[in-house]
Amino acid sequence: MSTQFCTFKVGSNLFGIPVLDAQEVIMPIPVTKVPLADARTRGLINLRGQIVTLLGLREIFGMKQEDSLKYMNVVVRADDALFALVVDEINDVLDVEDSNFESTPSTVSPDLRPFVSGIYKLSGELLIILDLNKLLNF
Amino acid sequence: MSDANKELLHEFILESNEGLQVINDKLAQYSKNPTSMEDFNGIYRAIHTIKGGARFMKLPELEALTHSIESVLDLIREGVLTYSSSFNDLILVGVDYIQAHIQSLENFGVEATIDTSILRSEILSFATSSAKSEKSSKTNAVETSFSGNFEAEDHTASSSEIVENNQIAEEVGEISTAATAVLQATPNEKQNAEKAIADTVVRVNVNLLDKIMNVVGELVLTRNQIVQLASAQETGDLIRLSTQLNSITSELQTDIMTTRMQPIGSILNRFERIVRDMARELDKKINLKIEGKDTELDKTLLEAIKDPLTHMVRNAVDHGMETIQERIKAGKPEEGNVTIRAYHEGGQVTIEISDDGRGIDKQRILAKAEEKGLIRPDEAARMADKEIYNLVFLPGFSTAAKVTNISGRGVGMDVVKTNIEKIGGHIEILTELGKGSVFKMRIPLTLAIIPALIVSSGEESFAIPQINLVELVRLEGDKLLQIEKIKDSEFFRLRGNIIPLARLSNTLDLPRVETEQESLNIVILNADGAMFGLIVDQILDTQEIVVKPLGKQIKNIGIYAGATIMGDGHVALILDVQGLANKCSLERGSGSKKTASGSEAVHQSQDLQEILLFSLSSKGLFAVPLSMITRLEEFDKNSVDYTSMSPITKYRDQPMPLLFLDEALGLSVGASKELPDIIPTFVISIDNLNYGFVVDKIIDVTATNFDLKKSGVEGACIIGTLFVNEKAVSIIDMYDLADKLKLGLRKKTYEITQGKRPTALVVEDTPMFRTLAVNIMREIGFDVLVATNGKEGIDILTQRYKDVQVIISDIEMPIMNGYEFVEILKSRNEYKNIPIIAVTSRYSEADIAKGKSAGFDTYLEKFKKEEIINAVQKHLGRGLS
Repeated sequence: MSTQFCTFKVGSNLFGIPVLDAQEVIMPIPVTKVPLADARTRGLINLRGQIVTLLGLREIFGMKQEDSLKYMNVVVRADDALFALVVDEINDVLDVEDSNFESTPSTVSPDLRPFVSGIYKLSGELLIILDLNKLLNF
Repeated sequence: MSDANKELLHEFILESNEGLQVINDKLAQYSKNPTSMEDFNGIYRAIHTIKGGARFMKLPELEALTHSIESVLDLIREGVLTYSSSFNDLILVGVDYIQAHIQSLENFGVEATIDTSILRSEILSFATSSAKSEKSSKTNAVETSFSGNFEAEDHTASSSEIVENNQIAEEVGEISTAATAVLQATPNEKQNAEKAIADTVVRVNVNLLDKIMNVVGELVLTRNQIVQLASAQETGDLIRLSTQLNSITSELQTDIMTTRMQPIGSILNRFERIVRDMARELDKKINLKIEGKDTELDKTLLEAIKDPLTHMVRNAVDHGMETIQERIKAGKPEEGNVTIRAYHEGGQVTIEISDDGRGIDKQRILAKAEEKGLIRPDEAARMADKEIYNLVFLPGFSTAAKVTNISGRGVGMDVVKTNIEKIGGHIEILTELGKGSVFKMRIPLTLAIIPALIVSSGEESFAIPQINLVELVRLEGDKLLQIEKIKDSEFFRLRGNIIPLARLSNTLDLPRVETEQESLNIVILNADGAMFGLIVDQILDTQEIVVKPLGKQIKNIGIYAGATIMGDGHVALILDVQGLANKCSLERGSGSKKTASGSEAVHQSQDLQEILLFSLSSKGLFAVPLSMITRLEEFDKNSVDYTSMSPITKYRDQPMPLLFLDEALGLSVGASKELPDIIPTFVISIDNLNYGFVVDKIIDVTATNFDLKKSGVEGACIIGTLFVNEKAVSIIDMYDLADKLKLGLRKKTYEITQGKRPTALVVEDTPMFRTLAVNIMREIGFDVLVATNGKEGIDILTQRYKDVQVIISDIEMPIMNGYEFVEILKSRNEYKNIPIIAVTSRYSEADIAKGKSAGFDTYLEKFKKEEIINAVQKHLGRGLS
C-alpha cells in the first residue's frame, strides 16, 4: 500500500502532507498584513473571493526569515477556514510505500518536532510528514 | 381551526414529512450497516421530533404511536435489544402509519381513523420477547420505557405474553397490508380535499441561499466600481444606466437580506403556548416573558437555534421550575417566571433563557457525573463552578430523576451545545441554587453585508462598521489645539464631554509617517456606550462590505471583527470597535485598571469612573471625578486680569473667575501667589457658570472603582482617600467646596410644608457617590435615608414608605441590584408611585432602555448634580404630597 504526498521544501528540509489535504498550490499574490498579528501569521490573501490566512512555515519552524519574493503557497482547508502554507519551493507529488514510514527520529530539530507525525526514508533524503492539525492550531 | 393553529399545523406537516424522508433514508442505510450510530441517531431524532410535535399539536394517536417506536429505539440504543430484520419491518410499518396520519392531517386536518393500538401492542410484545430471548435482564427497562407518562392500559394485557418471533413477523405482515390499504383508500378523497398545503411554500436549500448571498455580495462590489467609473464619465446614457443598476442592485440586496433576516419573534411566539400547556400539565404556575421579539436574525441561524431553544425552554419549565408547593415552602411567590430575552450586543445576538426556579445544584451534578464515570473524584474536588455547570453539556448526562416525555430522553444538552457551536455560537450557564438559572446563548453575525466607513492608517485601509460610528471630526490649523494632552494620553472635548483619543497607527504599531500635522481626522466611535475617538490618517469612503470570518489566529488578537474584499480585490480588515476600545483603555489608564488576576478586557461591569489626578502646592496627590469637569486648560499668565475680587481670565468669550484650589481647600500658607507662566486649570460648571480651578500640575487621567480607604473629614471638602498605583490620593468634594465658596446661583430649596422637611431615599453601594447624592439632596432641603443596596432599600421602605417622596438609586449593587429593586417597587401598590431616579455609570442606549423598561422614572448618568436636581424637581414639581 502506498500513499501520495504533496511535497515541498522549507529551508533545507523536505516536507510532505497527504495530497488530498492540499487543495491547490498558488504563486505569490498580494498579501494584506495583519497588524499586531504573531509573526507566524503573515497576512491575508484573496483567493477567488475567499479570504485565506497565510501561515509562514519558516516562522513556525523558527528558521531565519527571508524577505524573498520567491515562495509558493500551499492552500489547505481546516474545518471551515482556508489557510495557505508559505513554503520555499514546491516539489513533486511523491508516492511512498507505507512500510517505509518511521516515527520521528531524534535528528529532527526540536523546533519541528511538535508538528511532525513521522518520516519516510527516501533514497538520499528524509521526507518529513507534517501533522496539519497541529500546524493550523498553533 | 384558528389561523395561528393552521400555520402551526402546516409547519408540523412540513417538518414531519421531512422527518419521514430522513427516517426512510437512514433506515435503508442502517439496515445495511447496523453498527452505524450516526444513522440510528438520525432515525431516533426524527421520530422524537415528530413525537414532540404531535404532543404539542394535541394529536394523541400519532403521539402514542411515535412513543412506542421511540421506546423500541431506546432499547436498541441502550443495548437491551439488537437490530434484526423483524425490527426493521416493524419500524417500517410504524412509519407507514405515521405517514397515514400526516396525510390525513394534510387533507382533512385531523388524524387518520386507523387503530394503531394493535400495532403498538405488537411492538411491545416484540420488544419484550426479543429482550427475553436475548437473555437480557432488562425486561423491566422495556416496561418502564413503554409506560412513560401516559396510559399504559392497552399494553399491560399483552405484556405478559411471550410471542414467538416468527409469529410476530406474520402479524406484522398482516398489519402492513392493512396499513397499505388505508393509504390507498384515501386518494379519491384527496382530490376533493384542499390543495396540499405544502405547495404554497418553497423550501430552499440553505447552501443555495448562501450562494445567492455571496453572488449578491459580488454584485454589490461590482456595482460600486461601475458607479464610481460612471460618475467620472460625461456620457448621459452611461450615468443613467448606472443609476438604474444602482437602484436595482440595492433593491435586490434588500430583498435577499429580507429573505434571510427574520425577527426572532417568529420562533419565540410558539413558546407561549408550550409553556402554558406544560405548566398546566405539571401543575405549576408560570409567567412567560418574551423580550426582544424584533431582534433580527439570519434565517439559517434561526433554524439552527429553534430546537436548542425549545429544549432549553422545556428544561426550564420541567426541571428548573419548582411546583407551587415547593415555591411556597421556599418563600417564593407561587408564580414562577421564565424570561426569554433576545438582543443585539457587540456584533452578536444574545438569547437568554432565565428562570427564578430552583437553580442548579452543584453537588447533584458532580454526583451524577461521577456516577456516570464522566469525571474522577479527584477532578471533582478541583473544579471551578463554571466547569461544574458545564458538565451538563457532556453527552450521556441527565440529572432528571425520572425521564419524562416532556424534556426528552437524552436528546439532551449535549446536542444543544453542539448545535449552537456548529453555527459559531457559544452557550454558558449562570445559576444560583434556590434562586434560578440563566442559559445564555451568543450567536455571531458573520453572514452579513454591512455599511462601513473605510479609513486608512499607515499604508493599510481598514473598515469600521457604521453601527459604531457616531461622527467624524476634522481638525485643522488652530483647531488642532483643541486636543488636550495629559502625560501621554490625548483627549478631545466633544460638546461638553471629554473623550479619550487613540491613534490608530499607534494602537496597531504601524509605521508612523512623521509629517507636520496640518490636520487631523478623528472618527468618534461608540463601543457599547463608551465613546472614544480614533485618529486616522485618511477617511476614505462609506461602502457596503461583505463580512467574511477570520481564522482563529487572527480572531484571537481581539481587535478584528472580520475581513472583507474591497472593490479592487485587496483584503481589508474590519475593526472590532469594542475590542479596540478595550485595548486602548488598557494602554491609557495607569495600572489601576488591571484586576488582581491581571486579566485584560475591562468591561464596565463595576462602577469604574475616570478621575483627574493632579498635585497642589502642598504635598500629596488629589483628584476629582472627570465627569464633573467641563474642560482642562492651560492659561497663559498674560491672559489673566485682576479685579478686586479674584483673578479672571477669558474663557469662550466670557470672563471666568480663577480660583486657586489649594487656597480654597485651606492648604496653602497664605503667601502671595506668584502666577507661573502657564497656569494648569480645570473648569467646572456650576449652575451654568464656569469656574476655573488652578492646580499645580495636572498629572494623569485614570479609572478607579472608588474603593475609598479612608473616608473624608466633614468640612474639609475631601470625600476620602484611595490608592492609585500605591500612592494615596485625596478625592475632593467639589460640590461641598463650591458651597463653601458660595459659587453658583442661589440654591433652590423645597418649600417646607407643615414644618416638615421632605424625605428622600438614596440607594447606592459606593460610599463616595452615596455621600455626594446625600449631600445634594440635603442641600435642596431633603432629609435623607440611606441604603447600601436594593434589599436594604426595600427594608427601609417597608417602614418609611409614607414619608419617602423620591428615590435615587444606583444600578450595580451587591445583594439586590437596581433593576431588581425597581421591579419590586413598581409591583407594590405602596411604593409604585414614588418617583425613582436611576443614577449610574451604565449609560448606553441599551442600558437606558433597559432601565426605563424595568421601571425607572428617570435614568441619569453619574454624576451630574444639575440633572439630578432637575429630575427631582420635575417629579415633585406638582407639589409635595
